[in-house]
Order: sequence, then structure tokens, then C-alpha cells
Amino acid sequence: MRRFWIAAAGVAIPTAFVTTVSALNSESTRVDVTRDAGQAISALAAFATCGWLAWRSTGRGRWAWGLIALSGLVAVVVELAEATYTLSTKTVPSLLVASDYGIAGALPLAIAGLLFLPRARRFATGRRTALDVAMIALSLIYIGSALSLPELFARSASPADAWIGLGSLAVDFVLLTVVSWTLRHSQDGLRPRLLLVLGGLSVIAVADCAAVVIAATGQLGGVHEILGSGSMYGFALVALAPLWPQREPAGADEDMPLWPDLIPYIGVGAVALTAIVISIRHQPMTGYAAAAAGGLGAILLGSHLISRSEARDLLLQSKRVQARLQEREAMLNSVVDHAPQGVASISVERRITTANPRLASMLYAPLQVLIGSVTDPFLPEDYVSRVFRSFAANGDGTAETYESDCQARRADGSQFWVHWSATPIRRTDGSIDYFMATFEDVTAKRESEELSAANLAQLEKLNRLKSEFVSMVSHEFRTALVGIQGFSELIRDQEMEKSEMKTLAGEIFDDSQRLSRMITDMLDFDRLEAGKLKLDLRQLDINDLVREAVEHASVSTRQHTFEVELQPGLPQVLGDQDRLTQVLTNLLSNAIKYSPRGGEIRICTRLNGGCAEVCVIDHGNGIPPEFISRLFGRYERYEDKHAGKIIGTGLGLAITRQIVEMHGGRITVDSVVGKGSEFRFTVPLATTAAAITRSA
Amino acid sequence: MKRILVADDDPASAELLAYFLESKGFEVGTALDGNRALEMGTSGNFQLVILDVHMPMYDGVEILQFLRKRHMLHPIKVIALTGDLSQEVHDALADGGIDSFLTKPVDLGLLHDEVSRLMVA
Repeated sequence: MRRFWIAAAGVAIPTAFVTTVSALNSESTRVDVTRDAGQAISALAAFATCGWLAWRSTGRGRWAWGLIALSGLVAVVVELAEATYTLSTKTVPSLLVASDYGIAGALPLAIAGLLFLPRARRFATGRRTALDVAMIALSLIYIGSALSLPELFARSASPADAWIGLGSLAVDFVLLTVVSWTLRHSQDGLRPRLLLVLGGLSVIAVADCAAVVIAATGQLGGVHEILGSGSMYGFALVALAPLWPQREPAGADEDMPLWPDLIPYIGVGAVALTAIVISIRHQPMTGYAAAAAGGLGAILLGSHLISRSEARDLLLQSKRVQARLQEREAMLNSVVDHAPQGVASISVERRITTANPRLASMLYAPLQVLIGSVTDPFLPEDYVSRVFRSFAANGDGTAETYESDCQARRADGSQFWVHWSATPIRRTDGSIDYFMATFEDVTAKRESEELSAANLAQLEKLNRLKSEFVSMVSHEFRTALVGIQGFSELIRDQEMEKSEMKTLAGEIFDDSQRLSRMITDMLDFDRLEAGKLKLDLRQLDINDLVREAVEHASVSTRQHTFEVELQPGLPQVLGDQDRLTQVLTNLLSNAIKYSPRGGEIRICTRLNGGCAEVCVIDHGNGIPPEFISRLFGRYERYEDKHAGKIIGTGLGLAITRQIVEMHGGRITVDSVVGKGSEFRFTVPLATTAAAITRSA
Repeated sequence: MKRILVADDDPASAELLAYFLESKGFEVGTALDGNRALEMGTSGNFQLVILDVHMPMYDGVEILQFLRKRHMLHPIKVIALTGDLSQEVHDALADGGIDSFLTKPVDLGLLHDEVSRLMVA
């Protein structure tokens, strides 16, 4: 920057000197030579700096600056020739020839240079650019015509002078047009340099025009002298341009300033101003001016039409884009509305800002109520705020989503399981704008999972029990077989008396019966489980059955006494005689088995509601409370390590319960460990059963 | 006199074994539960025990371990008898140092062979 100001001062001093000399002493050849020299020096300076910049530039820039430098060189040559002529002939050359011949040659080079300058992209179509150029040119032509230039030339000294002047003016107009156009398309970074170049060239063109006008009208003098050295000021500015420090272009996303679009209209403004001046001075309008004004009007009309059509195109385009956007938004909305999941956007303060109908139905809350309310009544407050806080305040741009199952509450207070996810939606600066959340009701899924887990546990337990049962049954069967196999082996192999043989055969018979009972139990149970057992229902006297069962039981033991308390006149029950006998036999043999020290076993019957109730009470080992619940289950047998041997399959009570329940009765047990057990079961009376059947 | 202890909680089995062994000329004592079996087994009156593995109070494996501890110098012979053929029981008995292993229902001829073999050794 300092370099620029030093150069500017260096240029200003000789320029000021030349100006002063010209203003003070007119009409002198010395002054003329001084002025020529000043012009030559500034043109030389422009040649030097622009040439240096051209040498450093590449591509279009090199061509542009090179041509501008060349134009400076042409000007130097012309000025030097003029000064030499003035000095040798001691006469000032004809003004038009001297000042414009050479400058007119220099200016086309400058124009070509300007056309090579790098241009910025502007929002302008080709026809608009053409219109703009035409508008500037016509404005200049109008102004020139209004100033009566053609007529002035008609009064020139010679036809040659007139043509040269006219040609010179035409070049000036073209230059000004190109300058305006270049300014309109200037790049931001290049603009200071460009303004200097354009300013310099404009000064040359304007001063040239003015000098031509003044020369043609013959009004020579002080002002003319200054105007005559216009190219000196112009080239001085051009020479300074390459020294202005270069700024890199700001980047691709330049904003779109409005002022370059206004440049062509400056010309129109100048036309308007000129027209006002003409009318004030009552000057007549020439044919050229009228033609130019008419052309300008036509161009303005065209420009206006183009603007309108462009505006309409833009409007249509934006409408199309808007329609597409709306269509897309509608589609997205319908996707969200009909999504099988609840969708909501939730503010950082846990307020629901949007929600879809699915979420509303999931939470039992109308959409109008849901939107705007906080999430706290539905999701645990501390949990949600903990989740929201877990997202970094400023994301690193990677996708982040929280996902988990939690218990949620509906508007009516009922609880349900929800699988939900939250994703923060961030602003451009990374801060969280709101959260996008989706909700899925997973209650049914969880329940079925829990149910299948429970089923699996049940199956595993059953499997374990079954394998224990197989192991136990095989042991029992083998124990029973010991006697059968052993005693029969003895009878076969050993000599013995007949009485002894009979005793052993009795043992074999007892063991076979034991085996047979166990097999019957297993088959019965299997049939009961499969639901294949059919009851043969008849009217029975339960007291008779009890008496028979006790009679049979008492044969098998000598240690126990039986106390029978039967309610007389008990109504008949509806039941299967064999199966009820099996129940009684089972309960009695259990009472015997589990009271190994002997004692009293009490059996009673009584009426209980619509049923006959039978109780079997022993004073044996009793059953621990923790086992009672499993007592009637499959394969369960209570085994006390410290009690005596109990033989059986463990199916007895399971079969008993099944039979009782098939009759429509119930079986219960009360027991105290060490004191004994009391089993009770009921069988519906025949009258009750009939009533139930009828009502069913 | 060769004395054998039959420990079995099933009276029929115990009776059978006693009857058979007595007929073969052995003197036989019977124990119907684990407690009694332990008492009689440690008395020193028996050279051999026929042990049912499943018994109330103490089971066969426990009795075997106890007997092995008490008779370090003059080990008593033990034949295990069980209807349970599972590997765990088999392993537990083998670890306890069982002399012979027979399954129920027992082949009396095989039992006699085993008893004779162990009594001579």
C-alpha cells in the first residue's frame, strides 16, 4: 500500500507542474512541448507498470494488461512525435490531428485490453447484456448529439478534420461503453485496480471529447489547455492501477450486489439530465439526438419486457419448486401420520411440540392435549432428562440415537412397556434444537416373552421330575424283583420241604402284586393325564365303599387300629365304584405307610353341602408345610430320610386328586409334622350332580 | 465262622439274602436301616457287608465311607447292591473303595461267587 502512495505522490508532482504551466501560459510552443512531455511521461509510466503486471500475470490477465501497456506505448510515441514536430517547426500542430490521431490509435488497444480482463459471473442473460451495452452506447450518442457535436464538425476547418474528429468521438464512445460494461462485470477483488484503470480511461475519453468540442467551436484558452492534457491525467491513473495491492477474491459464494445492474441506467439518467438542460436552454433537438432517444426508448421497453419475462419465469419456477416441496411434505406427513409407531418431536425442556395420531392412541390422550404438554406424566421425568443430558451439547456430526425399553404411563394412569428412541436434531452451530422420538408399545411382546420363559421353566421342571421318576420307578421295580427272582431261584436250585417252598411262593406272590399295583398306577395316571379315563357313573352308597375299603386295609396291618365314624342315612352319591374304591385304598394305604409306629386311623363320612365328605386321619409322620402344595402333583413323593422305607411310585395322590376332581369333588389336606395328617375329599350327591347336569 | 451282614431296608430282600446265605453255611445278621447297619458293621463281628445303597437314615455310600475309616488295618469287605444304575452312584461307590458291585434283582449264583471270592482273599 505504501508503494502505491509513494508512486501516487511521484505522479502528482509533475502532473501538477504541467497543469500549472499550461494554465498560466497558453499559446506558447514551450508550454505545448511541456504538456506533450507530461503526457508522454505518464503514458510511459502506464506502459511500465502495466507491462510489469502483464509479465507477472497469466492467461487472460496477461493479455489484458499487456494490451493496456501497449496502448500507453502508442501514446508515448505519438506525444514524442508531436513534441518533436512542435520544436522543429516552432508551430503548434493542428489540434485535432495532434491530440486525437495518436490517442485514437492508443484507445482501441486499451478497449481490447479491457475486454480481456477477468469477469465476474452476474445474473444476466446474453440478450440482457446486449441491451445493456446498447443502452449505454445510445445514451452516449444522445448526449453527444444533444451537445451538437455533428454540427460543430460540420463547421470544422477541413473535411479531414471533421472525419478525424468524428472517428475520435466514436472511439471515445465505444471506450466509455466498454468501461461501463467492464465495471458492471468487475470482480470484487480486482475492483480497486479496475476503478483506477477505468477512471483513467474515462478521463482520457471525456477530456478528448471536450477538447474536440472546444477546438471545433474555436474557444481555445486556459480550460482548453487543461482539457488538452487529459490523457496525462488518465495515463497517470492507469499507471497507478497495477501498484494497488492485490486482494484475493473472497470466495465462491459472493453475494449479489445490486449496483452493477444499475450502471446502464446511469447513462439513461444522464440522458434525462441532458434533455432537461436542452429544454431549459431552448436548444433544438437534432435528428441524431431524436433517433438516439427513440432507440433508447425502444431498448428500455425491450429491457422492461425482458425483466418481466424473467420475473415470470422465476415466479413459475419457484411455484413449481414450492409445489414439489408441498407434495413431498404431504407425503412425509402422511408417512408420519400412518406410521405404526408413535412419533413426536420433543423440546429440550421435554415439551411435546408435534405428535402423530398413533402416539395419541398409545397414550390414551387426544392429539390436541398431547401437543404442548410436557412428557413428565407419561415418561419418568428424571429418566428422560438424564437421557437428554447424555447427548453432548455440541455434536461432532455423527449420528447419535438413544434406544431402550421403559415403563410408560397412559393418560388414564395405566402402565405399559414402551420401546423408544430419541435422536437430537441440531442447529447449524451444533446445539440441540429438539429431539425426534419414536415410541413402540412392546407390552404384548414382553408379556409373551415372560410367559414363554415361565412355560420353559415349567417344562424344565417337569422334565427333571420325570427323569427322577424314571430313576425312582426303576429302583422300586428292581427291589420288587429281588424277591421274585431270588425266591424262585432258591426253589429251583435248593432241596427244601414243601411247607418251606409254600412260604417262599407266598413271598413271590406278594412281590408280584406289588409290581402289578405299581404298573396299574402308572397306566392309570397315564390315562388320566391323557384324558382317556372314562368314569362309569352310578348311584352309590359311599358308606358301603368306606366299610369295604377299611376291611381290606385292616387285613394288611396288625399294628394299626381303625376307627370308623359313618353318618347314617347319607344320601347316595354319583360316582364310579372302582375309582372311588381306588381313592379310599390309596388314602388308607398312605395312612398306614406314613404312620410306621402304628396307632389309630380314623375314617369318617358326613354331609357337607351338596356333597358327601370323607376324611382319613392318621397319627403318623405328618407332612411339612412346604411340601403340601406339591403333594398332589405328578411324580411327587415325600421322602423323609429318617423315616422308614416307603414303597410306591409317588403317583398315588396325583391319581387320587384327578379321580376326585373328575367326579366334581375336592380333596384337601391338613397336616402337622410329627402329629399326623388329615385328608378330606368330597363327592357330589346324586341329586346335586343331576341338578348340575340339568342346568348345564 | 464266617459272618456276613445284610443291610437292606426292604424286608423281603433282606429275608431272601439271609435265607440264601445261611443255606450256604454263613452266619448272617440283618440291618433294616442305615443306623443299625452302621452299628453292626463297626462292631467287628462281620467280615463282609452286603449293602443296599438306598436306605433311610444313612445311605450306602455314607456307611461305606464310615466303615473304611474305622477299619484301616483290617478292612471289611463290602458288596454294594442297588437298583440305581446311575453313573454318579457308581462313581461315589468306586471312590469310597467298594469291593464289588451287584445290581438288583441280584443273581444269587453270582452273589455266591463274589462272596466266596472275597471271603478267601
